[in-house]
Amino acid sequence: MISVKNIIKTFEDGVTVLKGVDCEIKKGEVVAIIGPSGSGKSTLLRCMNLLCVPTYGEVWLKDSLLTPVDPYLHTEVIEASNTYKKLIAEGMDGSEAIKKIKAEDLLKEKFSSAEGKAYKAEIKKIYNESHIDINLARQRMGMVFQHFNLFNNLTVMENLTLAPTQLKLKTNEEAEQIAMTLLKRIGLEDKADVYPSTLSGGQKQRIAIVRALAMNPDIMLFDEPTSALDPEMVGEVLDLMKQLAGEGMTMVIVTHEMGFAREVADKIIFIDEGIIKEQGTPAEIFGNPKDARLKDFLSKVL
Amino acid sequence: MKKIITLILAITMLLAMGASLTSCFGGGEIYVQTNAYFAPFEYYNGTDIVGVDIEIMEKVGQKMGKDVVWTDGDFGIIIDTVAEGKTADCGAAGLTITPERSEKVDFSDPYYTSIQYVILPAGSDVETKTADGTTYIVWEALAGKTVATQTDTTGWIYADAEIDGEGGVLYGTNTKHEAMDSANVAAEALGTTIDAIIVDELPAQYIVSNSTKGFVCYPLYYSGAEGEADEPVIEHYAIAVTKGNTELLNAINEVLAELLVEDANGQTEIEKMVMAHMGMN
Amino acid sequence: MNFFNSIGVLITNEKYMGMLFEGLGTTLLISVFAALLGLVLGTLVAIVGISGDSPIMKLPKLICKLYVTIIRGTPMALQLFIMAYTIFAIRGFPKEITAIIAFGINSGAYVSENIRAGILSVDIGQTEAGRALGLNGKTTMVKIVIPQAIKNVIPAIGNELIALIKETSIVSMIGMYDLTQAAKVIGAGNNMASYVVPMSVAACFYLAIVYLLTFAIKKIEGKLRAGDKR
Repeated sequence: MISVKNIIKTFEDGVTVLKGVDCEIKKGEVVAIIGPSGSGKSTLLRCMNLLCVPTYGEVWLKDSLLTPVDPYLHTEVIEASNTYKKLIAEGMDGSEAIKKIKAEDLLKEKFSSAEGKAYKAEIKKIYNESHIDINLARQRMGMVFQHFNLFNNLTVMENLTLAPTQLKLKTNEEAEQIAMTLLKRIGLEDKADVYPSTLSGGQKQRIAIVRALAMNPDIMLFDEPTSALDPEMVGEVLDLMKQLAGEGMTMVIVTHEMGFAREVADKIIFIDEGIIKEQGTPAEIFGNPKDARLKDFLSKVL
Repeated sequence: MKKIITLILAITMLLAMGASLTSCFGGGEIYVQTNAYFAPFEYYNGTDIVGVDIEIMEKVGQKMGKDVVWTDGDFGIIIDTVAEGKTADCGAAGLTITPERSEKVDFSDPYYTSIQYVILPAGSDVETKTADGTTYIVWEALAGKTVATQTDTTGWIYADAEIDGEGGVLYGTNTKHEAMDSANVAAEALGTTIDAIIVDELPAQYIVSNSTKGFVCYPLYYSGAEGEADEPVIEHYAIAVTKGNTELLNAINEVLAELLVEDANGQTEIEKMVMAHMGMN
Repeated sequence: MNFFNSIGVLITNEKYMGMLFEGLGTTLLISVFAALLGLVLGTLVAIVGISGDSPIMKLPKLICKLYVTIIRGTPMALQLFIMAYTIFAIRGFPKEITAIIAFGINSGAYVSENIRAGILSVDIGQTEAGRALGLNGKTTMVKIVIPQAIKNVIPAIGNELIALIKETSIVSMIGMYDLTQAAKVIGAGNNMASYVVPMSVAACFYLAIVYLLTFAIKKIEGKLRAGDKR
C-alpha cells in the first residue's frame, strides 16, 4: 500500500532526523512505529502523506509516486546521466560507477540540466507515468494527530463534512448522512452541533478519527493518538482503533502504547536515531529483541 | 496563487497607466492650480474658492469660451505643477515673479504690486520708523526676534535670504525664522511664540482687520545707504502659465490689460476687486 | 471664557456647521473606502507573505516585502503627495479616488502585518489537518485558518482603522475639503480668524467617530468570541 524508499529528511536548521529509511506497508496490515522520542518516528509517518516533505527518497502509494523522482533510486536514470557516462568513459565498470555515484552523491545537481537531456527525460518519464497530485493522494490517506486538530471554527458535523463536500466527493446531504452514521458509531451523535472546544480529549480524538473515516480512506495514519489524552480517556480511543483494525483497515500507528502495539499490530518497526534498527512481528520484537538499543528501550517502557 | 499574482500585476499596471492617462480627461477647460489661503486673492467662502484671482480667471475663461476648473493644494507645488502642465494649465495664487520661477513657467504681465508687510502683536517692542508720513519697519528692527512666514511664499523667500542666508541683513543676529503652513496659522501664535509675521500687504491687512487681538501691521523696508531713503520690499504678482501655452498667456494678458485701465477716478478694475474682497467698498 | 463663547458662536452658526459636516462627509468617504481597500490589499499581501517557498512565489513575495517596507518606512504625507502629483497627476481625476488609493495602500501595509500575525497565531495543526484531508492550501486558508485568524486580528485592525481616520486629516494638503480643511477655512481670516476654536470642534467630530468605531469593534469582537469558551 505504502512504500517508503530511502527517505532522508534534513530540516532547515540542518538537523537530519531520518537517515535513509525503507519500509513497506501492505494492504490490511497494522504497523506500529515505536522508538524513543526524537528518534524520527513521527517524521517518518508525516513523510508518508508529505506533511513533511522528504529531502531525498521517494514515497509511493500503491503505484503512485507522491514525491519528486529521486534519481538515485532508478538505475536507468543514473545511467542516463553525464556523470555516469563520464565514469564509464574513464573505463569504470557500470555497476561500480553506479555504486560510486550513490555513495559519493555525485548527482549534485539532481534536478538541473547539468546532467544532460537524456537524464532529464528519464526523470520526466518516471514522473509522468507515476506521479499523482498530493491532494488526491491525501484523500485516500486519513491522518489522526496527537493534538486532534479538530477545526475550532466549525461544529463537529461541519468538521466531518467539510472535506467531502469541499472536494465535491459528496453532496451536503450525503456527507451529513455519513457523518451522522459515524457519530452514532462512536456514540457522539448528540454532539453534532457543538463546537470542539466543549468536548473532552477522548471525544475530540474519536471525532478526529471519524473525520478521517468520512473520506473513506484506504489507509489511516495515527501520530501518537493517545499521547495528549488523560489516562482515563486512552481506552476509548484505543478501542475504536482496535475496531478499525478488526475491520481490516490498513493502519500505521506511531505510539507509546506498547501493550496496544503488541496486541493489535501485525508488524512493529523500531526506529532510533533516524534509521530502522529492527522490524518484525510483535512476538519477535517484544519476545526476542536483537538490537541493543531496542532491548534498552523496551526495558525502559515495559 | 495565480490570481494573486494577476491582481498584483493589475494594480501595478493601473498605477503605471496613471501617467499615460494624462490626456484622457478634460478638454474644454482651463485647469488652475491655487492655494486658497491668500485672501483677498483666493480664499474659501464656505466650501467655494473665491477672490480676485478667481474673478480674473473667470474673465479669461469667458474670453476663451472655456470653463475654469480650480484645484486647491499646497502653495509650494503650484510652480512645479504648472511647469509640468499635467494637471494645470496655469497657476493663480498671488504669485510673485522671481527669476527662479521664470525659468520654469511663463509669467503674465504683472497685475498687482505688493509690498511685504510685517504683522506685529499688540504691544510689540519692534521699533518703527516714519518718513514722508509713512510708518514702516526696517529689517534691522527685527533682529533677535522670531519671524514667521508661509513656506515658499515671497515672504519666506525674503526671510530665507535675509535671516538664514549668508550675507543677509539679519544673518548671524540670532534672529529666528519659522516657516508655517499659512500666515493664518502663524497668526494663531503671534504674540506668544512668534514676534512678527512677514506676509504680503493685503493678506496682512486682512489678518489685522479681522483680528480680535489688536494686531498691527507696517510695510517692510530695506534701510537705505548713507544719505539715501529707505526702500520698501516690493514685488509684482502675475499668473504663471505652462511654458509654450501662448494662447492662454495671451488671453490672460488681454484680460489683465482691460482690468488695469484706470477709470475717471484713477482706479483700476483690479483695485476695485481687491477693495470689494477686503470688504472696503 | 472667550474660548467657550467662540465655540458657542461656531456651533450655533448654520453655515460653519454645514461646512464641518461637508468636510466630515469627505473624511468618512475616504476613511471607509480606504479601509476596505486596505483590508483587501492587506489580506492578499499577508497570504502571499506566509505562503510556501515555491519558486513561482518568489517575485510576488519580494514585491510584497518591498511594498510593506517602503510604505511603512515613509511618511504618509509624502505618499499622498506622490500619489496626487505624480501617479494620478491627471487633470480632472477625482481627488477622492487619489486619496482612497493612497490611504488604502498605506493602510494595507499595516493591515497585512496584523493579518500575518493573526494567521500565524492560528495553530499550525489546523492547517495540517486540513491539508491531510486532501484540501488544497487555498481552501484550508479560506475555510479554516482565516476564520480563526479574524478574531485574533480584529483588535489590531480596529487600531489601524482609528489611526487611518485621523491620518486622513492631511488630505487638506492636496486641497481636499475634509473635516480638517473645513476647520481651517472656518479659522481663516475671512471667517472666524481663529484656528483653535474650529480645530477643537473638528477634534470633537473625530473623537465621536473614533468612539463609535471603538464601540462597534468591541461588539464584533464579543460576538466572534462567544463561540470559544474553554
